[in-house]
Amino acid sequence: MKKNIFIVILLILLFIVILISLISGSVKISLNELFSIFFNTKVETDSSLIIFKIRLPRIFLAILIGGTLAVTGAMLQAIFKNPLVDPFITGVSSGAAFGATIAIIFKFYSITFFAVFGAILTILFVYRLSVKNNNLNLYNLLLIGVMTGSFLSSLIMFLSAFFNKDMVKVIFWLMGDLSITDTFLLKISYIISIIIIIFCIYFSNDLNILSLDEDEAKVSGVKTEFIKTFYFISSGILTGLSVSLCGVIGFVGLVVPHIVRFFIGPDLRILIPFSFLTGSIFLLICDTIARVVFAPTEIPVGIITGLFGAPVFVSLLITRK
Amino acid sequence: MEILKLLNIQYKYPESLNNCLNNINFTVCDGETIGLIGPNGAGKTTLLKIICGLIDEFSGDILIYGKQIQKYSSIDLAKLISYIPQMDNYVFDFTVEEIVTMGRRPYTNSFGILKPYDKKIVKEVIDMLGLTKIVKRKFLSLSGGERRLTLIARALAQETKIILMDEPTNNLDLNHKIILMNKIIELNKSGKTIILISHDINLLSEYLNRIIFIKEGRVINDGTVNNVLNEKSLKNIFEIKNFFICENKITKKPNVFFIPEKEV
Repeated sequence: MKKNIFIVILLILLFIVILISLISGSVKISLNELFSIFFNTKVETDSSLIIFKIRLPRIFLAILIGGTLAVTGAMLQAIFKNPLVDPFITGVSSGAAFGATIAIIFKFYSITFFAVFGAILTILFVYRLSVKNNNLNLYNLLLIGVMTGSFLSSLIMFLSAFFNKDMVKVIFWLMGDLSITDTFLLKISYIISIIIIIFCIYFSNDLNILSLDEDEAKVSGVKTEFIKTFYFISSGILTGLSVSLCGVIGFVGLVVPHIVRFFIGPDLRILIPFSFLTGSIFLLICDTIARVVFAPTEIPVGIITGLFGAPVFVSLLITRK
Repeated sequence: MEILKLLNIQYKYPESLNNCLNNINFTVCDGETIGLIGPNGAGKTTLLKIICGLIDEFSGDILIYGKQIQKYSSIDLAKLISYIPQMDNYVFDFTVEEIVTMGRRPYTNSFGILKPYDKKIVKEVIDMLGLTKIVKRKFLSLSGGERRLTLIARALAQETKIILMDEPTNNLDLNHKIILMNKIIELNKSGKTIILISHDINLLSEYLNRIIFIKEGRVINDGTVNNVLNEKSLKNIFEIKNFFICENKITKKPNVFFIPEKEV
């Protein structure tokens, strides 16, 4: 498909999804009301408070998280030369959550810093374990990643129970939850994430070459160790930020790059920005469903992404040549 | 002119007890085509990887234009030597054009913006190897022969003096083997120095001018096809008995023929 058409479709879709997300929820707001709120910002009503204080920040959060998870997924797939991985399946999200849990329990200063640190350590751990004789074993990687993830999740729940934390909150967090909005952290995360993603796009042709074959990349002048380290750390920071904002959300990073690659091919210079946009739309849809389906009760958004993602993952695993 | 010189190359894999390469010495002159022949596990691929800078924990010296290989930056080395590995187990499905363009990496930045000259070179190598009709095709949808040609085009786009190929004719049918070897000779005539590994002794005999026999990490024999391809060296290297060597009447090159056990 022509890239220009694809980007126009995505932007229109994003706009529509934002609109739907703004008007739906436990309090229904009509489109007319929505427009009058936006054009009449001086009058403060209950509806305008809901829009500006609750729904809009949440939409911005979903856009950032969906986008960064999808971008991270696309990058991890390229480094691991494996289209079946994402931050969740490789256990990186759980690593970030574990780092954050340690920070919460022991009351360390920065939860985000520990989440980032946990994510980077987990990537390096899973990578080292799945490389044997300089070869990256595809199935080892999947198994080690999934096991690391579930081990760390269990450890998080165990520690939380041991230190008398609110288990419901912990479970919500492990399933991904976009309702906690720390707007200061959100703004900082936007700035950091966008800067990192710009750098990731800049080096992405080197990652393209690396995603085919490491030896060939080296021989054609790519500094492979630098590129790998750069993308490991970037993926760690992006995952750490997203987990410290809203917990562990699975499968966005798996499903989205797949869909985008199907339309525009595997060139990361285009795949990264398009994945960001598509990931935003995907997570925003999932979150809107999570808010609406049992309204006024909300369910963790990870449940919805899992309902979409797990079957997609299995079908990809089966149909892989 | 000497373009590549190997002096006392020794290498041992970290997990192995024995040396993989022992005291390898040879010199490659500009414009040569060299075939490396030897049993499986003789160290041929390791040797190619050392020459193109993929393995750097070896002892001895590799000189390219008289300068030690370690003194070249990775980009400068990539402008001198290209390498086409044995296997292409690609996961991501780039198009032929995208893969050939990757060969321009030593001349572009990390984002890979092409200048008009880069585009010209990419187009030229695609035309030269007859890939014009399939430039937009996805790599994984190509036949074995087309894949090989694509990877050679990529190495050509790198515009290097030396091209290393690891079993380029592997898995190709006879027709594609001949097409490929003709292309290799064409490249050689345009000034490329080519070193390739192959198990197809007759093919190398017909097409190349020099053969190096390697066994257990040592150079056993090195010289022109007519000088080194004889019964004594084949017996020694492959430890085989039932074969004979005959001259191809047209090319005057030696060819190896095998006799099944029951016929002896």
